[in-house]
Amino acid sequence: MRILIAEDDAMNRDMIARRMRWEGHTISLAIDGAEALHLARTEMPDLILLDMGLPKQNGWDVARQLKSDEATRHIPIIALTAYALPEDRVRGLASGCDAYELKPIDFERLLLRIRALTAGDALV
Amino acid sequence: MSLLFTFYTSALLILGIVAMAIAAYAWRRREMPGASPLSLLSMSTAIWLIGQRMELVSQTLPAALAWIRIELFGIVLLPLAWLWFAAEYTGSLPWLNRRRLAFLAIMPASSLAVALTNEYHSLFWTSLTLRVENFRTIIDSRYGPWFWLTVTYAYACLSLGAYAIVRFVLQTARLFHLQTAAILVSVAAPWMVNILRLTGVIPKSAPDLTALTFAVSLGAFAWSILRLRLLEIRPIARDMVLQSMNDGVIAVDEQGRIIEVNRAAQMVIGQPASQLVGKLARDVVARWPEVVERYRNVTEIAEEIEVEIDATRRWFDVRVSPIYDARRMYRGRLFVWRDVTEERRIREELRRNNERLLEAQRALTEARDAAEAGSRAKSAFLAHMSHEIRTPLTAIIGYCQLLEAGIERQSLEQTRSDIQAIHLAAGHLLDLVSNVLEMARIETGRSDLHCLMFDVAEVVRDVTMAAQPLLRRNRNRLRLEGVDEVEEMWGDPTRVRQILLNLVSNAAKFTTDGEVVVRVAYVDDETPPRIQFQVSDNGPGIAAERMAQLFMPFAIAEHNIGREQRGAGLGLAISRHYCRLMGGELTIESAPGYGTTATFWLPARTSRVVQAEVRS
Repeated sequence: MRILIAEDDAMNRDMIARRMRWEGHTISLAIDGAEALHLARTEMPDLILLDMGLPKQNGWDVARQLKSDEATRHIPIIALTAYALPEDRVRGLASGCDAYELKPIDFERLLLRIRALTAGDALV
Repeated sequence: MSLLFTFYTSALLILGIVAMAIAAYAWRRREMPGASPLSLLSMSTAIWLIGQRMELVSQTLPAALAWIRIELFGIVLLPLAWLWFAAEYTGSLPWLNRRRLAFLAIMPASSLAVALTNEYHSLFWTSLTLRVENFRTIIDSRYGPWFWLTVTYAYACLSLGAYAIVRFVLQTARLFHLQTAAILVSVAAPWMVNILRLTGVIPKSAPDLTALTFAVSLGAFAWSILRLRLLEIRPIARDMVLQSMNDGVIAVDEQGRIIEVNRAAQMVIGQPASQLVGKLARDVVARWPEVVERYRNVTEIAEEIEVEIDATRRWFDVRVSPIYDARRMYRGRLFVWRDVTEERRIREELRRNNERLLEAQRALTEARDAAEAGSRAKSAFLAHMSHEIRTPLTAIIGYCQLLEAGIERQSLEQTRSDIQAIHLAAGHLLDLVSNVLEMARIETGRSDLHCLMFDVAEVVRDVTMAAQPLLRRNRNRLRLEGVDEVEEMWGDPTRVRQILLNLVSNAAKFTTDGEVVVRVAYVDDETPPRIQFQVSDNGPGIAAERMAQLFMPFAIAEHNIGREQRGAGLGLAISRHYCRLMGGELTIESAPGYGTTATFWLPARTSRVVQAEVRS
């Protein structure tokens, strides 16, 4: 599976990418919102792991734009963020994210999410 | 019959009828003060006039005697009526009540009785002969003691009444010169004629003009009183109002001479009305030249002015209005003033109280807003702290999991790099926790300084060493300027190092492939002289709308700031706090696209200054 990881923190980017490669996925990396949008449109990944606090264009905007575009609407987006308040979750889901996962990352749960989303039915 | 005689008797008749008309007119208005006595006065005058006329034209002695008796009725009644009128009209003879008047009426009644019974005792006339010459009745009379008693009584009444009237006229109604003259003449004229006749200056053979003169006087009276409607507005009441007013009142004529001045005004000026009336107002108030100057040509105004009286400044409400006579001719000015010092003081106090209330309300609103802002800030702080702690924890936990699961499979090099990442993230976490604790200490006022003389160059060297990794990461060069200019200074070296490191780290974080310049300078053209540190970069600069938030804790928590540039968001707030604690200031200037310069200065307490202070 081709996964796009949009994360501005170098360490976290590296760490998440390595973990996803272990799982056998092909990884693209974006360090800000603009790059994430660009890569999503050009590479058409099977799934996007999206940080919310991205520079240039934040995660909420990226999710909203991808979900309002016919071409990219089908790509599942999992918000992966340190914004942990309940209202942050609501805001994330409202912007179009299919799931909202918190940092520090519970990888078991994240992998289940990925499987569920790519299998076609969301796990709430 | 001579023409003069005919004229004279006709005049008596006409005036008698006029007097009767006045009597009737006054009687109809008898509820007004002075109207009843005026009516009686006019009536007695009419009886006198008509009686005299009929006496003069009587052709027989019995007829003439009968008219003389009727005439006498008027004559004895007149002085009493006059006194009554004067008392009631002026109100100045309060002891003369109706009972006393009735008592005084005993005298004319007795006189009348004595005159009517004269043939039995001759107390009034010792002889009374009558001859008719030329159709004209001439009476030759010699008077007895009772007659002179009657005359004395009459003169006493007339004098008393005249005194009251003259005094009253002089005290009031000064505005009406013509009327004053009319009244005074009408009081004086009959006297003169009567005195001249009784003393023999006018021969007895000439007609007795007393009655005629009196009639003229009465006319003048009636005119002045009725025309000016003095009966309708009680002059005494008006005068009392004027005199009892707390407001000062002065009326001046066209030439500025005082024609009326009330009691309150007399008090202020310090002279009685008798000394003030007729004087120029500007001379009277010459003590207050600014007042004279201010109102020299003012005919109409209403204002408040401040005047110094007896070395205290007092406020007066002053009204000036023009006086016009009945023909709308300008006759002078009326000044009315009132001391409003106390009023103004109360007004001022009210205004100040009101302001204090508004101020308190503003303060309350501010306090409420601050509390609300504080509460919002606290929520934002918690949300932000959660976010900021989670980020390095994500790295730490994530790498730990990687190591746990894959340490056997990966190279030693990879393992070392992962451990370094964990170490770095833990360091961030520690910085964050330290900064938060420090901010908490600052906010609870428990931060303090440990000041000593320290080597500035050494501190700068420490900072550049500590900032090297950050500078290298974004490929920035560091340049030092003027570090040797200041050798040592007084302050807390730990705090100075902390502030400088914070500024250099900020510059390094936000600038890529640029230059960070640290400048140290001794500035002696400021008071007090300063030691100034400047950290400049040629990075992206700070947008104007963000400048105001720079020193607010966590202001950096903007979503479009990169992860690499984030700190705890407390650095500048902490730096500025310590800078101020040491008596200095920290400011930041920036223009987007041109870079940012942070400047902080501390009072220059070099060893020289400190030694000088110790010596003194």
